Amino acid sequence: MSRSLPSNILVAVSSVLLAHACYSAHEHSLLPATAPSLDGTPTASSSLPLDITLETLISVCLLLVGIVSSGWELKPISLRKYAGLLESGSIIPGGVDAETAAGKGRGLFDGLEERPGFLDIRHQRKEFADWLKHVNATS
Amino acid sequence: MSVSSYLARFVGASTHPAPSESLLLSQLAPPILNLTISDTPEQWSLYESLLMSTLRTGDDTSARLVLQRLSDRFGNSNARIMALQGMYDEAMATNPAQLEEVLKNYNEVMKGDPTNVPIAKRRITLLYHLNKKPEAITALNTLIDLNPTDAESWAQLAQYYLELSMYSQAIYCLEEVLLILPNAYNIHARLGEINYIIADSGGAGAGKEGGGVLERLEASLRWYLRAVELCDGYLRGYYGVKLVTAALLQGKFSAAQRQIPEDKVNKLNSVATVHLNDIISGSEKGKKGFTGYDAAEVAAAKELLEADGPST
Amino acid sequence: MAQVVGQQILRDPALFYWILFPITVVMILTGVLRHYATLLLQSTPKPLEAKAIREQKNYLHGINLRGNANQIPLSSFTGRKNYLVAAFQAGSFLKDPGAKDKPPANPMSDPNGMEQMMNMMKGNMMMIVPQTVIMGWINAFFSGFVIMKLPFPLTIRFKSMLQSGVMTRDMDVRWVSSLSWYFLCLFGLRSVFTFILGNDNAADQTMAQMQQMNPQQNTQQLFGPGQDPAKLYLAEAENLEVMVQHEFVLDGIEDRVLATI
Repeated sequence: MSRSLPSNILVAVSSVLLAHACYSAHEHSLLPATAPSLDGTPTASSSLPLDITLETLISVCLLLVGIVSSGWELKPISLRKYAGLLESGSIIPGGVDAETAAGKGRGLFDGLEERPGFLDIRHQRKEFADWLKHVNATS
Repeated sequence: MSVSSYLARFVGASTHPAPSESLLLSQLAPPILNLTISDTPEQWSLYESLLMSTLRTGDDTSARLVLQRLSDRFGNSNARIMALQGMYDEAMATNPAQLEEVLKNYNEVMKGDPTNVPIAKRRITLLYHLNKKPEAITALNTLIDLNPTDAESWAQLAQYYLELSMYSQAIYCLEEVLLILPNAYNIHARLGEINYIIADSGGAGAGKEGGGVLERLEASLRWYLRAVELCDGYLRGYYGVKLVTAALLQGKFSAAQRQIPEDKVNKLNSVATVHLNDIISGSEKGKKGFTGYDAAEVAAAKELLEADGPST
Repeated sequence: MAQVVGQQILRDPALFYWILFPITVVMILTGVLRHYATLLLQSTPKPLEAKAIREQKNYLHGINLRGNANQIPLSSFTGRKNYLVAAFQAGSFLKDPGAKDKPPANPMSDPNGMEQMMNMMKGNMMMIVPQTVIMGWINAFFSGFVIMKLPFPLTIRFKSMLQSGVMTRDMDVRWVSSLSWYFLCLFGLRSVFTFILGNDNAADQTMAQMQQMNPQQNTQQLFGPGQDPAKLYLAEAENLEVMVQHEFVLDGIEDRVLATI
């Protein structure tokens, strides 16, 4: 997952902003108990100052934008694309990377053509033995 | 290497691998058998694939050991283990009498438990292998009557019918597969293939008056197009589109009878050519994203394009 | 830095060693014990007999046909539809066709349903018995203890949740009583169990494994006890019959492909 530099910076800055907003809110929550207002109206004691609220909202938005735009490759969501990538061996199902699986493309429905339940083992053995004989004869 | 990386090797391979590939796979047997048994589902499916590979290449001692471990874990009465054991017995049989013995064994199991699907499938395969084709097909039909929602059985039945040139029955079976797995694009392509074969053999079995061949060709083209629509970069699908459109263009069909106008067929032909060219050149140069195609299939596509080359 | 104000309660540190800690340990141990007891009590589900499988799968066949009708040509669809509707109405896939007109059997007398209920009851007992026992134990020994203080403030709403068993109206919500700690453990230990007993609690995993080795003998009951398959079949036949709209996917495919590729 390669992230681009600008979005990295964006994520970092907005995280710092968010942390700062949280810290401010915490500090603010400790304040009112020591300074009750004179006329008894709920001043700062109940509501958060506007600047902290704004800071929180903006930093969250920036963080979202940063994460979304960090540019990792999205997985295909249409069957057409996905099946095509499987067929051409670009992706292998089951989270295996393409290198270990010998680069062979496996279609989504190949099981229907191979039908392991009906595997004719004797036929395959004979095929292999013939091939082996052939290889030994030529080498 | 771990279980999962070994498993990836087997998952990537088909159950009908080329001989050289099965040799490579079965040579993995000693290191896999030396791994500690972790009793995870991955491990056991790895064992299962390994059993088939070793049987294929005749590494019978490893096969015996793998089977032993599997039956130690899951017991001899597990349906799937019974099928694997049966496969082992089939492979080990040296003369027809022993094969008959295995078959008798299967019959007995089926009599005791008619719901044992893995054994039923082995029995059908063995029957077909012993050239008792009608019996195999009857048995498969019984299995399908028991469970008409098993796509594998339907696909196998279609294969049997196809080998006997019973095309309409094969088409029926493949349509059943589509009812179960509506997105199975290779089944669509196979339907296109069968329709093309019927048209190629002179429209026999088309049943309809006069325009049988044309009708079949157009049906074939449509199935292939559906396969291509469902799967981008499906080599066999594009190959079929190319093949059928070429046949449609060369055949002298009157415009009135055509359901797909000639200019569209022409366009489809060139679209298929473009895609095939892409795949062939990408695959020959080993470009990223084209490495997974089967070399033989690519070669066949190239041949088709070259044969068609001068005319387009 | 502002002064932190709040109630200060002096707690004996022994409260921690003799109440908080034992409750947690006991909860975890019972969880593990329950897990293995369930494993022991679980009876392997009986495989269905051939006729029952046939009954269920053919019903699914009808549903599949209805759902994916557009994948096959109209002629193929009508042929299948007519066949299935006739067969469904005649009840030829039923386990015992003779029972078609009889009222459905009492689920209590059906051995299959009985077994299912037994299993359900076993599972429930495994949940209820240890819970009652432990809750009784905590009530008898530790009721009324305030054992810990949360490191963060909470609103008054949490009071009933955190201080059950302690009837002090003015106490700060941050104080947690022993009974509440039991409840927190009860609902919050899932991830601990996942950690100890493996993902999805080893019980489920071995079950999944056996299932995987045995894919055909799925014992899931499509028709629950008390449901009448004959009626379901008739309903499905009707559903198929009233299906008039059929839009074959291959119609106009050439234009679609030309437009998209």
